[in-house]
Amino acid sequence: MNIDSIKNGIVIDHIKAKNGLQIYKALKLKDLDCQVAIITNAKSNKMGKKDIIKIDKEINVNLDILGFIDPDITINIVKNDKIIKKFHVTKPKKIVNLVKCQNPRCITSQEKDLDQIFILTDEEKQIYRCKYCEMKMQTNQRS
Amino acid sequence: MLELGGNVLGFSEANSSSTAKGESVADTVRVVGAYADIIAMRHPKEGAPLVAAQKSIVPVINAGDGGHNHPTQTLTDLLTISCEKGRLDNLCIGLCGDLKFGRTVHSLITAMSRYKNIKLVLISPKELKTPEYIKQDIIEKNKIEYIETNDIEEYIDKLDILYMTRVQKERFFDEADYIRFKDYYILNKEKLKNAKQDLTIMHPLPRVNEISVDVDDDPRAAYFRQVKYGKYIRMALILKMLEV
Repeated sequence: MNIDSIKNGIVIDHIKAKNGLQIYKALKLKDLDCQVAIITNAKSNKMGKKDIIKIDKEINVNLDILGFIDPDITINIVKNDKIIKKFHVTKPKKIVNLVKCQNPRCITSQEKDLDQIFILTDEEKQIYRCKYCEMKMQTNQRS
Repeated sequence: MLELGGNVLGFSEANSSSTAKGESVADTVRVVGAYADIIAMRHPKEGAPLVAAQKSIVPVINAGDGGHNHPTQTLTDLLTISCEKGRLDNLCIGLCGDLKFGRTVHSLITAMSRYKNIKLVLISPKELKTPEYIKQDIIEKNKIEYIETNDIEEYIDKLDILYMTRVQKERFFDEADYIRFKDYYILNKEKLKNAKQDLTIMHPLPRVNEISVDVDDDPRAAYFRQVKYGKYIRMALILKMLEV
């Protein structure tokens, strides 16, 4: 299967297979008016299978969202058919309004106008806690 | 506050405040802050005092938020331990009762983890054991020696401090669970027969049945003295926060 290469834009590579659609939704890529391709289960020597997203436009992507969903992602910035910049994302220190606190006793369950904020409290174990009630984010909230 | 010469504005229950009409925490503290110089907030929702502190123009004291934190109780407990034992290190502390929802216990464990040679005996029914995150993130991370048991008498002879807690009805969604656990531990003279002569028995109060009244006159019972330490520490905190 061939997907055209892009002239100016962004390629989000090395996405863990099946995470592509989640990233598409999280970055709200459906709102763009340019061409966007999601390739799922692409062959990868390193990963076996991977997803790739190609965006045919230079946009500002939220790196925190990418780092939170999948910290192994590679970002390629393409300009005039050439990759001019390649970098990895990292786990963000803080996540805002991406995940909802599941603690029914948390103030955010009562006051809907509050931002849902999670803080990375343990980098080694990659543990996020709600800023308000300090409840640990559940694993199933991550993807 | 009264002993410091201040006055108190307040309401006895949330139902008589604008909170019952749906007012947000942020709005409440902005309004109250226009009348008062300092706010002490007890709130059933966890994290509400943090929201308040972010929006308030006057200092906010967290007077307990759900099952999350109760910092002034912890300061009270630290002052009690310091005054009764003369130290905050080299102590074997038994924590007994509801260790799952008991916020005072979580805060005290966190505070004591700063001091050297602390040993913990965690006494609870298995359904109300200390949460994993407290064990992993606080106790084990700080390499604190600890034992878990459901028998209050098993290690009572080793303890320097016995911190009793109430099983709190408001933490249970199921009334049957509350009834099952509320009288699980009742400390009485008989159970104290092997305890050290200089044991300090603490309780954040109010107690229900977990300490028998026959213990009250025992000099080791420190829980009413603890109330006085609580008054002093809160006076100190108010002075500190008002910068007077």
